[in-house]
Amino acid sequence: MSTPDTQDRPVTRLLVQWSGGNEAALGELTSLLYRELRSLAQRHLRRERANHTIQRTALVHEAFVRLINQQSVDWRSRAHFFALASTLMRRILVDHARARLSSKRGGGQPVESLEEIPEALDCVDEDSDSDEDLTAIDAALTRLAAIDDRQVQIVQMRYFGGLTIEETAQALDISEATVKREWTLARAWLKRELSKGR
Amino acid sequence: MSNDRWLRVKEVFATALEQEPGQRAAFLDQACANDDVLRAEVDSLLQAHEATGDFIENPAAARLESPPPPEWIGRRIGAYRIVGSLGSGGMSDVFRAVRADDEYHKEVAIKILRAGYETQFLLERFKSEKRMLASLDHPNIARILDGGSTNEGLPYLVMDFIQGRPIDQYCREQHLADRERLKLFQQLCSAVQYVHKHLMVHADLKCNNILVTEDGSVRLLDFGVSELVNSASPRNPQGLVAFTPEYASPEQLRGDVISTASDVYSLGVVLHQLLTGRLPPGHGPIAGDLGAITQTALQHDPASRYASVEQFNLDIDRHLNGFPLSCQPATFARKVTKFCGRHRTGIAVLSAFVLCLIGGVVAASWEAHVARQQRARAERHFADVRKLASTFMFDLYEAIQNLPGSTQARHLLVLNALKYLDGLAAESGGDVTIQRELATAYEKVADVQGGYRQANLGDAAGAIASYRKALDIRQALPPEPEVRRELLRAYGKLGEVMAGVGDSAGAIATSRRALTIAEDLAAQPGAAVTDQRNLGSVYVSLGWQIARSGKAERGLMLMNQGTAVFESLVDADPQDARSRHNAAVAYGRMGEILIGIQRYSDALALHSKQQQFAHALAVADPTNAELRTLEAYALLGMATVLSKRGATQDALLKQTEAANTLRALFDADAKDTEARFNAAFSLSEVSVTLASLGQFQAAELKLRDALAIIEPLAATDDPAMAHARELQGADNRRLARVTAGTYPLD
Repeated sequence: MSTPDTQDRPVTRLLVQWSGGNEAALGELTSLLYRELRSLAQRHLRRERANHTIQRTALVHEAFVRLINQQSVDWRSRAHFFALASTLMRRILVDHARARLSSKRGGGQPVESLEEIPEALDCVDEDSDSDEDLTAIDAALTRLAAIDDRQVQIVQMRYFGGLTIEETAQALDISEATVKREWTLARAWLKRELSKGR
Repeated sequence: MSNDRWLRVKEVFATALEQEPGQRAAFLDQACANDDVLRAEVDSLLQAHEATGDFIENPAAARLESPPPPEWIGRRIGAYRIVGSLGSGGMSDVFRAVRADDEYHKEVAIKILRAGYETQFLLERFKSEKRMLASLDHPNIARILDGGSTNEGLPYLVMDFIQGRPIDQYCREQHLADRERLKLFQQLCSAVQYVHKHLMVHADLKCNNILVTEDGSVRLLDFGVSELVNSASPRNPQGLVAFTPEYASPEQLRGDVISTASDVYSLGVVLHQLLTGRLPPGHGPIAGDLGAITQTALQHDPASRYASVEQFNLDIDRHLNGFPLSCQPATFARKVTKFCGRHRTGIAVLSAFVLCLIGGVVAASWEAHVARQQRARAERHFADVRKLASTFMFDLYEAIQNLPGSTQARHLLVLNALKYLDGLAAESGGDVTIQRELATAYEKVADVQGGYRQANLGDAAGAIASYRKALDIRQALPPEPEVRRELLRAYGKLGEVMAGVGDSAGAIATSRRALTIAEDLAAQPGAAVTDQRNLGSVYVSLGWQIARSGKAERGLMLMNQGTAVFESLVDADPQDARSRHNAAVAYGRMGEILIGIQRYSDALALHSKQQQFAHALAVADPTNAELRTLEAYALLGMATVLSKRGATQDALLKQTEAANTLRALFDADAKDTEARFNAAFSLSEVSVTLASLGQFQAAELKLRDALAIIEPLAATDDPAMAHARELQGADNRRLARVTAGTYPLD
């Protein structure tokens, strides 16, 4: 079931290192996930029927679950699971946005692991947040982390992980009212940060 | 910004938002008095807040979605028109729809795979969900009505529309007490049990998949990720498993093969949520039985969880009825705590003495050391004894009981078990829980030694002694209803064994004691149906023993009282199969007594009543061998009366029918020694009747059949097979007479 890309990767070890604060381990994990994603995307494209496009979210999800399923990962707590899932999604989406931006501008180094993602999958709904927004949100979140770590976690789970208020409250074991309060302030704070830069 | 500063900003910001727009400025003036920096910070955040709109409200991943989903509402799919949305799952959307071609507009739910998600794997999933649901028919499981593909080629499923709320929400909003929550949970268990019986695993049990309707009945939904147990195909060819991590078992999260144990775990999560409102581990463990039950279901290692949903459910039953639980780790821990509690005085005295000598820290650590050692010893000791008495011995016994020549070993086993139990009894002091367990262990040993109606060592004297030990312990316990029931059960068994060895006076005295308890239990307010039924059974046993001691009329009167109890229970609840069964057994015994005192027409009436009852039960439960055996014995009883009256042909017909049934049951389970005996016995009966009709050759054939069947049983030295050797002896005598052409055979 596993692909050669991930077969012998010490995902568990990387996860343990990452949860112990080793950020380099997360980088390694993320690149594993990218490779998985790429190979899945190519396989899907080959057998795709003409008029349908497989959604990227489905692919990312599929790749992520695939990755953790292939390895003996002991998920001690659901908060751990969601924290990782959301963080990884943040990395993936932001890096992807960055890669697209740099290729649009025709300069800079494209992010290594994304250059082979087929074009056919690169369709973005133009009405929603732009690639610029996404990278700006990412940068602002990094600044927010210096003030309020929990708000960053909540934003990651809500915005990148796609969790509802209720799910976030359960994952962090805090009340829904607290999540709502923190979420409201974090959104206002981020919105202000983003308008500063314009 | 300093931490305090940020907390203050948070507080003012949140409170400002709670104010009416008109009051906000006044509030801020007051809250930020003399702190212009704070005021400016909060003002700018509030301003940004006004402008957020749907900023980052939609998940970032959604930006990559395209094209927009088809507009389903208003469309017709198959025979249904979609009228509204019901929600979205991971990869599919669910809609409310009505049957378009039907004047009643029956409401249904339609689940459609989301456009863009038709990977091979998800298409397969949809198909398998349809297949699985189609094979399930249970009141607590949503039914599937139809399925197919839309014009775009997206698969859909049409299901019952369940108007209800998720089980956790329902419990919260109805302010249900724990007891009612547990009752709902039991409905869920019965649905999952049913799923498991059909060799499937639901694999995604969570509150949102469990709805409760307005009339309080549970419906299990969404078999989207269900698995066939031991399915040969690889579980997940594309690597996608759409379970819900909060509810998923550790093995499921690891991606290991999942089993019914994974559903047990998820049920544990649901139960935890129903009881505490939170997902496990939550804040602080659940206290008492319910904590032990939840803990057992939530064990990390699948093998340490409840072995089945049924056992899980049974423990909840036990809790609801105030019985001790089956889940061992927790009850065991509780017992050990109690055991150590008893030794605490000793530990305290010792440490007080040590304290005088050396004092201080050393004493404290010494005390801890002693306590630890005591506890460790107690744990080891109990673990050993429990293991031996309640598991090891019975497992081993069962494993060797059919081995030829194992009688000696089995005797040894029982002897050792008794030694351990006697040792434990001497040490166990006044702990009620341990005492009860000990009594149960003695009772089990007694069953093995010489229990009525089961494979045993034929050691009636030993059995009587062990039953007495169980009884002595139970008599000293506080007379709670459950203890009284256990007492009653042991008296009942003891009476039967005593009657079996011909100790008629002892049996009658024992059964009279049983009768006193049974009458008490049945008369108490809130007596269970079981208590009534027990009373009926005691009447029948006592009546049977008295009748066999020579006072047939007096005995029959008591047995009549017993059948009256069963009949009134059946009247009250025609579904009460157990009472029907007991009545049928009692009719049979009365019939035998009546034949003995030559009241043939009464005997025939009772045996035919027995046959009717047993027949109805067997029709309703066709795989139950015991019921078919009961019916066959009723026919044999009727045949006995018929041949006494000279209606030999009629007798032969009944006996042949009985013999055919019993032969078929024996063929179905050749290892069942009782079935073997029954088959041989009925053939012997047929042969006697054939001989009386002058058909000696046919009679001889039947006898040879019977002898061939009984041979393996009679050849053992097993004391429990004495009746088989008796039958063999009788048949050999009959064979000698039949070959000599002598009539009658008996």
